[in-house]
Amino acid sequence: MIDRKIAPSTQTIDKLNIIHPTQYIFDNGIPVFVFQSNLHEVIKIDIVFDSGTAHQSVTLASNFTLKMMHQGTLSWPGSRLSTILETNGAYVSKHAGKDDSVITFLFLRKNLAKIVPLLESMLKEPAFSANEFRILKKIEKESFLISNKKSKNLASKLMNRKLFGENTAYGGSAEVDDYKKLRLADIQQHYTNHIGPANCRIVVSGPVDADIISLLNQHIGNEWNTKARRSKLTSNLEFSAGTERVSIAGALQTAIQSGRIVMHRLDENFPSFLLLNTLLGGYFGSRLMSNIREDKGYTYGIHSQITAYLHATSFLIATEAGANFTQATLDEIAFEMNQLREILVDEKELELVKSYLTGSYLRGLDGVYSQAEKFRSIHSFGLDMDYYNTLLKRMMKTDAKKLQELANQYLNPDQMATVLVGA
Amino acid sequence: MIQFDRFILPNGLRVIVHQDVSTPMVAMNILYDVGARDENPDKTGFAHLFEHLMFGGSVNIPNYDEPLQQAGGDNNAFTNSDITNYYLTIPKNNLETAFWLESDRMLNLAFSEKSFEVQRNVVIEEFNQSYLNQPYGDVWLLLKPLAYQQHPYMWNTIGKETSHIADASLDDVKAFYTKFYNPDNAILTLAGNITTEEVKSLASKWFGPINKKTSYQRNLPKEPAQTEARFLSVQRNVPTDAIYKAWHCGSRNDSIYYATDLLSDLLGSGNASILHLELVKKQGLFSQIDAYITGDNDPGLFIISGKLMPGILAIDADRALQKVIDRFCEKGVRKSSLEKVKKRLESTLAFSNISLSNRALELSICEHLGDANLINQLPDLYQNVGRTEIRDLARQLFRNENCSTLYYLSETDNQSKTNPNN
Repeated sequence: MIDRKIAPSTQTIDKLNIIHPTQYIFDNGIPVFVFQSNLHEVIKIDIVFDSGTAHQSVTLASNFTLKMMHQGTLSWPGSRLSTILETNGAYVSKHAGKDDSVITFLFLRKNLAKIVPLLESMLKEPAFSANEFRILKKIEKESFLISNKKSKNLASKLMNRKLFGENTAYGGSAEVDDYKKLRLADIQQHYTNHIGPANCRIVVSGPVDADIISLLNQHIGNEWNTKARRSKLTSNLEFSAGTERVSIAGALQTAIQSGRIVMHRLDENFPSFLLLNTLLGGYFGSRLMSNIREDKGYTYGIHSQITAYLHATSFLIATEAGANFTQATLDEIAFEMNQLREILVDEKELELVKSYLTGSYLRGLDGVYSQAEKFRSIHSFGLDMDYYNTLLKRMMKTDAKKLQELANQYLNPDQMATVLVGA
Repeated sequence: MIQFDRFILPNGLRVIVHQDVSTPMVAMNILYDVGARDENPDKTGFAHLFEHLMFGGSVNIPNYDEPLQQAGGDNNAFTNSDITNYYLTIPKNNLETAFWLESDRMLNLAFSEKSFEVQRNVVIEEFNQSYLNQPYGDVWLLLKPLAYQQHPYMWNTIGKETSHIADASLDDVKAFYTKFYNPDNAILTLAGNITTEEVKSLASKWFGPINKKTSYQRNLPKEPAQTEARFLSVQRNVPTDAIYKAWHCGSRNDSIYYATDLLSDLLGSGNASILHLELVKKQGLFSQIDAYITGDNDPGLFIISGKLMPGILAIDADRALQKVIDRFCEKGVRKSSLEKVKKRLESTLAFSNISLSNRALELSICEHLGDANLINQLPDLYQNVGRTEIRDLARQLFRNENCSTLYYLSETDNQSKTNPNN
């Protein structure tokens, strides 16, 4: 007869199964990192440029350049490009982040030979047609207007300004007029200055062997027609604390965001702060979730999150709470931060968060595609995959006293920036 | 080829085992054969509210999440019109913890008043966040009751209105649990570095002793054939007008399903799709337009939805859309276009098989449809769709009397009335 009241015994995981990528270098100097596995027929190629929204001279240029590279090339103009990519079962996604931009190609290995020339054409000879640009601007502007209507997005935009400074490299964001102001020449210039081998690194995952790398080298390992150099961040960043409130008539919920700048990823306290973040709001059993959702029912979800950029790390608490619970939610957030400053976390809870996090890293590093993702997120910091073992080790060594010390240093409502959009 | 074993416990629990030795994790998926369609029309939103309550503690285990987190596991769940699905991943070494947790909450829940109170509020906030406080959020609350007048698909998983959730009682919810949450109404799937013998042993140990039976016989009112076009127009606080059109199509188990899915891809999936090329790029009437199917177990819907460019009247955009559809019905699909969407789908199927959890989920869904091995037949089922089949399907599907149209208009947008050339 089993005793359902007794939990089965569990084991702790002490080490992650890290693999290092095989490194190649193209003739033009582009470093290529390969996470090889024959388990699936899917090849993923991430083409990363060390230039993002932080480096653009014109608002929207970074984003639009990536998008326009998908809107036709000299060899495959206009919609011909999308059609031929789809005909070969290729999925292309683009992302312009603050520090870097990525174009990702996802396809089946058997279609590689047909897809590589398309990839080459997109990188080296985007058409930047006036007609496609005109259409894209219209579409993107509409998309912006809809996105801007969402309280959560408006809150993010305002928070971004407070975290980094309104007209700074990290803090700027688009307004609707920027869509009108953007010119094709801005795109051409951004492409010329920021998209090129000198500014590029590539991460490949899947059934990829040296022959495939050689093929890629033949196509994109030679000279491109751009002047791109390694991009440098020019402006300073500036944080401003305090609360900003936007009222939306008839809002049923308030989008609440509360954040600040914390230590850089390479700082020795970063791993411990990651642990603190998880405990506060980084998983379902967190202090914030347990209180504000599972005890009070004020929201469908509340989280805290750390984002490490090359030049700053942000810490952010975010939720959409019932409009009538806006102040109550703010009070509880302050309460939870206060708890962490005043009272040492007990061993049991600390153990639980550590186990959870270990499982989370095990899961996040499962399989080559996940490993490649994780690699991509730290490589520009000059780190390699060993970092994850180091990270885990430091998190596990963190004691309650350290957490309290960090809480006192960083979790002060008076030192936070807060944005409320809604009630 | 996704290899798997299948067995059934004496209590009726179906178990699927898929071995993958490359991963340190195990994915466990439990699918219960209950969805929003099984609800009482005056007490909607229960299946989903119930999903929340499954996390409020079970009869022997006061807290579900903590032991799982302690074991390095993570979990979530979702509800739709047809099923309620719970899934977790856990390091292989701690697999038994997952069996202990899932079997206990199948055995009996704690049903605390406190958890019930809180989750009712949480679900109301979810209702607000997803449906009421977002631009275009309430589209489905409007479109489903327009398209469905008899079948329970007429209401959404979240419920018809927040009052149904607010007025729910703990007794209602207990009755719901007893009715549906039984081993003979569930499919348990394991994927990871496990053997069938291991799973048989753990399943028999933890789930074997649960002897509750389901007496529910699904007998839902059939949606009668729609005999005339339906139309609804609303005004909302959104930046741009939108059009939603829904046509009744087959069910997931119909042989025509695969042609229907490909038809939606041809028309409206991706930047090289027919609707995007014609109505966004060429005619500039829409800023975005999509086509997709609901894929429901009972006869579902084929949807085309789009956001209009400023200055474009909904009725003009609708007519232009109809013209494209009519031309398609007349001419059918080009060979190269059909090849293209099949190629794309081939990729999609391969991508979805990368994730361990996803394989476990797909196996469960296929088993729920009648045969887990359907997962391995999908590539051929899609490849075998012919051009004539698609053309005939389109002619059948896009009849005007089969269509429900929703104009979702901006209350602030006056340009569409005065400045068509904007």
